[in-house]
Amino acid sequence: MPAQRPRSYPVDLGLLTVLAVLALAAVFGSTYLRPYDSPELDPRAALLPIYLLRSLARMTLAYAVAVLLALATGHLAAASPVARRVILPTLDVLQSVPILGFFPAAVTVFVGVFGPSALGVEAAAVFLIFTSMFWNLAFGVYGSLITLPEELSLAATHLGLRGSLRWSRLVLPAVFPNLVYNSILSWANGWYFLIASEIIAAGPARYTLPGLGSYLSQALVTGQTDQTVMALATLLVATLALHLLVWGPLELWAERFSLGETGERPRTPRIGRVLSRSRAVRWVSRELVIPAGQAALRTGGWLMALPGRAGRPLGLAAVCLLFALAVYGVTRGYALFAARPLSAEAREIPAGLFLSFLRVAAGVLLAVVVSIPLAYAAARLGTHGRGIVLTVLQVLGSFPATAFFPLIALGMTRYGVDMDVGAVFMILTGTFLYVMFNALSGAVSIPEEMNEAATVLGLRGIAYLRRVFVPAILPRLVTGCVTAWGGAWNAIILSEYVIAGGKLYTVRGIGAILDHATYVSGDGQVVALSLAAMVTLIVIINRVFWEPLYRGVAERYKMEA
Amino acid sequence: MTQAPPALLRMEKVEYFFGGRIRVLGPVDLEVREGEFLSLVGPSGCGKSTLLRIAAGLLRPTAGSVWLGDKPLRGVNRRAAVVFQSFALFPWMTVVDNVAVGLEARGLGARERLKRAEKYIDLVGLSGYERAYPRELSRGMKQLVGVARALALEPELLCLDEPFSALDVLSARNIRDLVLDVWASPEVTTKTILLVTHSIEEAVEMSDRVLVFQANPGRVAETVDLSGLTRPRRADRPGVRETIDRMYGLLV
Amino acid sequence: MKKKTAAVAEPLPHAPITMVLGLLEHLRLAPGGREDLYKLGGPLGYELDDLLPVTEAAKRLGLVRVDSGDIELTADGMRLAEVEEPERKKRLARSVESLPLVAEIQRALESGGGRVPRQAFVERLQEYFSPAEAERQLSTALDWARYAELFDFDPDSEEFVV
Repeated sequence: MPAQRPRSYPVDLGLLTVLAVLALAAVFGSTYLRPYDSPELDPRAALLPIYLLRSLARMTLAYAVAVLLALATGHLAAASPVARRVILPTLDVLQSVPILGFFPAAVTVFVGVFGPSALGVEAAAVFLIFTSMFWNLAFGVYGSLITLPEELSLAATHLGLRGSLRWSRLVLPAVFPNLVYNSILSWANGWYFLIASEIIAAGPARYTLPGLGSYLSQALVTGQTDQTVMALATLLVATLALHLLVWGPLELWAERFSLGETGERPRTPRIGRVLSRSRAVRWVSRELVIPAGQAALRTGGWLMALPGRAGRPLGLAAVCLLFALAVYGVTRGYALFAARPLSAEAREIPAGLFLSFLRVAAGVLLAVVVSIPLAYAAARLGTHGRGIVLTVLQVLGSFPATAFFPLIALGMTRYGVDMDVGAVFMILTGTFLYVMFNALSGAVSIPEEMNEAATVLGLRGIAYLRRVFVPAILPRLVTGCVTAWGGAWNAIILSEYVIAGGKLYTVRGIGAILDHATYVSGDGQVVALSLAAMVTLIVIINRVFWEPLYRGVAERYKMEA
Repeated sequence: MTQAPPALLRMEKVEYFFGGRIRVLGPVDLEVREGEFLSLVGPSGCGKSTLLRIAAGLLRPTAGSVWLGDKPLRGVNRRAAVVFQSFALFPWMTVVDNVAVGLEARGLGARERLKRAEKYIDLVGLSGYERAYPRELSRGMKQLVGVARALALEPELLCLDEPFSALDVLSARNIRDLVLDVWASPEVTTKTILLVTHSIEEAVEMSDRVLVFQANPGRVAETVDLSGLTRPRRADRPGVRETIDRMYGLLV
Repeated sequence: MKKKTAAVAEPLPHAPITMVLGLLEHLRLAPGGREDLYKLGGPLGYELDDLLPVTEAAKRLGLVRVDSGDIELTADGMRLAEVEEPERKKRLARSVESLPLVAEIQRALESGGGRVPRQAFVERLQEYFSPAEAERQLSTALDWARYAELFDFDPDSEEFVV
């Protein structure tokens, strides 16, 4: 029987990475430390690959940090009941915070640390992307570790698997399928916020981060259609390539890691199945992706086991640091308010919040109303058709809609549409895909026999939708709505205050208040208050509405698969 | 009367409380003698699996002490290996990797690991399946991998936790015969076996000694010495039927 | 137009080879290597879903004979049940090799230099079976071939290998 072929990939990859990092540092390092002067972006289309690479670099760095941190956090929460009680609620609240609201603050902080150089802004952008990727990864890791069969971890202990071996043979493989699935979601999120951060930076914040988003934004603003098209095409090609060359093979490989009784995670379509017909893709998968993945598992195991004994004191130190930061934040905040009475702008906040809330609700509702019939239609297409629809949705989802906001704003004024509607439309881009994806995955999970019974009973059309379809997909639909709700608030911040073609498009709402205070009036008090108001509203509605709804629905409409 | 062989593992007044309050087990005194096949029989919930885990060092007793030879047992028992009821194979590793992973933890080199793993895979009759994944195997074969994995550690004590309860009758019989063959084989250094089961027939068929357990809390009700009965022990052999009946009487 | 369908069109019964061997063991101990079929069901805890494929598989391999509600070891079956490893594997290999699907895979391996993509056989079988059934056929063939140490499968390259 053939022995396992020895692979030297870990060494190769390690060396390559180190060399790459050194090279990048050498090339870009010097420019980063010079004071920043916000240059105009070189609009030559030939430079697009470079801009793409810069954007990709930010994404990859943010992702790497997010994965490592998610592994540490998720593992800690799963291993220690005490830690769990602190970590889970904290993650829950933090993930409800609309990230874009914090971007200006992040820029200020990082610029403060790194000086007024490009490094500060880059760090802020990476941080932003990191926060968009982190939460679902952490929850995913926690979820898969909690559901690990007890005898498996017992067997691992009994076999003497400790430290890096335990990580690379038990923990990492166990979380791998979930990690891949959530990574795809995280990257979709990441693109959205990458483009957003580059656009914000280029627009109101007046820092230009060289990348695809800022290129696109500049092209749109200066009205260069050919550049716009090139940029969009590059983005499309990039997301497609990622799916084909990375996620597809990884998903295929990840099937080997599943524990058998997979939970109800909505399965992404069998891109791998379709793709495996292509010899080129199979070659990439076999020669590049899988060995890289295996090497990553080993290195990951080694990395995660590094803290080892130092883990506990390190964790404690981290908690103390966070606490100190919180105290600092609170005292600064207090100073902010004690300084002067509430400005007129601040008094606008409740009304603005209410209006924004209406828009968000409209966005979510519209997404639901549109998704249900679409999901119904798509589900009846048969496995092949469904696969295509799911793939298209996935690719669309990776495509950051934020790229289009300035375009939408311009379009709205051209056709004389009220900006309020425009804002809702922009929000819809943040909600629709979440809801649609979940609705469709719910629809395909309806047991065939249930549909057959409905046909026999003569339930069709609206009656079928009402009695069978909607109740059956309700739990997934609610999940989609919760995520859409979160996405909508982020879209609010971007959509209520858009700069396109040199003009400002704005509506009355909390996002506009926040943006105005951040970029124009510089009123720290208003910034803090509006952010606080938004977060409070979101958390309250989560606890009072979404969670009970989900619990009720999950109980009543659960399918005994 | 020959001297009883030395005790490989000894438990003194061992007790186990679940969650600190519910007494699951104890107090229990038992010893596992070198070279013997010892069974623990009892109804579900009598704590016999807990006892096995304590013997393997996977659980620490709430009270009492465990001795390995003449030293107290601390941490995982490195002289023992466990075969689990649910097989507990790593689904993402091939058969040969599953069997070799314990050896990797003990620091054996790649070539040595492969050699040993293949030896034991061959021993349990699974040669040809080295590169198969657990999901491609039937339940009986999965448990065979579990046995190979345990034997590959070349332990002094082999612990089997209800290893056959998840299997069909024929696979179970096959593995039972295999365990007895392996126990007798000069190729294998493992000579002491601890079996936990809820099947009286099984215990009588295989063991030298049987400890009959009661539940609530788990305690040894009686010790039955079967060394007088020669193997193979079929139900039609003299003495076997009576012993089984007697033990039913003890338990019910 | 083919006059007769290819031999591979006859489906392999889906039973793990170890169960077949277990059946042989059981029959060996029965008087005359013969047993009532219903006795396999009840006491052994076999349900029809398990029983049918196992007996079918044993029949296909020429190891048992079924008639008038009884199942009996053939001469080959008896010999196989009596010998020890590695003789047993060698004998079983002969029976397994005679199956059309296994033989085709082996021929392909010989001409393909020891490696042949699984996908090719999936497509071949889809002429006669649904995609899901084609996959199952190959899994069963692989299980039997693995035991007989005729060939193996490399999941990374998705190829049958010698």
